[in-house]
Amino acid sequence: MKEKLIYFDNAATTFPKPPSVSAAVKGCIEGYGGNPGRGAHPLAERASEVIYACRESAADLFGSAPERVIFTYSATHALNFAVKGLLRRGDHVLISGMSHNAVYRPVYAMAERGEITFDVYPHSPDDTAEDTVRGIEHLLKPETAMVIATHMSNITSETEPIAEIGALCRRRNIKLVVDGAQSGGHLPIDVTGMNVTALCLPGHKGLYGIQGAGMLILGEDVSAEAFTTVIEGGSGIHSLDSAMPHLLPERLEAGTPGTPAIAGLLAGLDWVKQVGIPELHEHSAALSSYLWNCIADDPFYTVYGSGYGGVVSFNVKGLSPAEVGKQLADHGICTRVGYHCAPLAHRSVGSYETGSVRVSFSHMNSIREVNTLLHELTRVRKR
Amino acid sequence: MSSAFTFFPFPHRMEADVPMGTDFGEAVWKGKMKMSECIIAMKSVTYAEKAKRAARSAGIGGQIVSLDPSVTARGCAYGISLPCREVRSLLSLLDQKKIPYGEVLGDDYYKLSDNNYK
Repeated sequence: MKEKLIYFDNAATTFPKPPSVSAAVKGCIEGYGGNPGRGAHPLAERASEVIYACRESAADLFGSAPERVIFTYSATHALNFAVKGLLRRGDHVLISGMSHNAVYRPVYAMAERGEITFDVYPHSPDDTAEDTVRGIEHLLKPETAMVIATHMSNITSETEPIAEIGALCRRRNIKLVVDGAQSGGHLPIDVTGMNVTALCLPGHKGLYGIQGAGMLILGEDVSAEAFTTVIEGGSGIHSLDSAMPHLLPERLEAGTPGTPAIAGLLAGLDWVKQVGIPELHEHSAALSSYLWNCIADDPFYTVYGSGYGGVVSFNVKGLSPAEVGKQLADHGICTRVGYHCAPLAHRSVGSYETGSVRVSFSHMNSIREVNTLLHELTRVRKR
Repeated sequence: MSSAFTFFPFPHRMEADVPMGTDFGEAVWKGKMKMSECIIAMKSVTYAEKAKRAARSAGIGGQIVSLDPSVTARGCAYGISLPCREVRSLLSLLDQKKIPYGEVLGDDYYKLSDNNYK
């Protein structure tokens, strides 16, 4: 294996991180690692300040209020909170055909227990916004309580029209939960302006923080009382109460928060704002479009999606994704192969039988690295 | 890094759960108690941080403090400590910014700090 690795698995987690993120995490651990909201001594207070600063920064970027930024440990965690906290027995849910298992599995589990029913709305790369909205509308029932949209696919980077879906949900008084795991930091998302009930984000992908912090960002239309708590425990306030607090965010934040990860997320948010979401998106999109254009017309490759948005999934004729991935890894190129925790998406794009090789870019990648990948793929084909 | 204080029991509790917009100040200004530091109880540590930032941006001093359990009905709470003469201004600001708050707590407490004075 080459000493210098080329990292093309940014849809799983971005790497490397900006130096400011590393410094922020290190600074927290070494300088003020108290337990926020659990005391009034200097270390706890400093930690509380950093936690709040991160809420404020996230609220500013995503169009909400600081107290409506709920810290979780991941986007999966946030999605579980949204699904299990907001749905009631008898509700019907619509999920996207491009859903990740972080959406599909909690919905499936509730349906298996007989608590809810669900349907999958179709979405394909050629769909217009109107096509997607029409597809959702067609499946609505009187008991439909929630639509869970996948803003950007983790296998093809295809996007769904969140603003248009939000407008539909608002008209029908339906909650809109958005899986922003791939779009956070790549596409603008305005929770208030797009009528989003709950936006679920990881801190460690497009926001360039470290693993261990995610966010559930709530819109105006959901109150603290509307949430059934999924996890109960210490909240730092009102300890004599037997129930979790009736206030956001504390109602949904039981236990010690991941302060070092949140400190890193704050630095990541600052970095994203400094570079700018348009620039971040255009950089990744340019790389994925370049790769896609190089292999889409080559009969040795089957390429899925349009390749615009930072992610390209493909298969090589005569080789399994695992074989391709291993040969690339042996030559220092990191990709991800298989189903990417998104079987519904693979079914939607036509790669369900085999899975695929996924190449996903970040702001830290370059055209030179893509050319190295293309060179190695040529050697893979010849072996 | 700011210091935080732990307060011991307050002999004077002023009002419970002050509704937004309430003009609480008459009892304080009539000199029925010593005038130095007052505390506005906040609904949560998050709202305490929000209030502190709002106060600072308006040039009003204030520090987040932990409230003694004897003055809280539900245990473990936080407040903003500030000179009593600035309480009215801060409450007006909190009302304007729709930041909820609770009791306003008065003076005559024992304070432990870096200075170790009462």
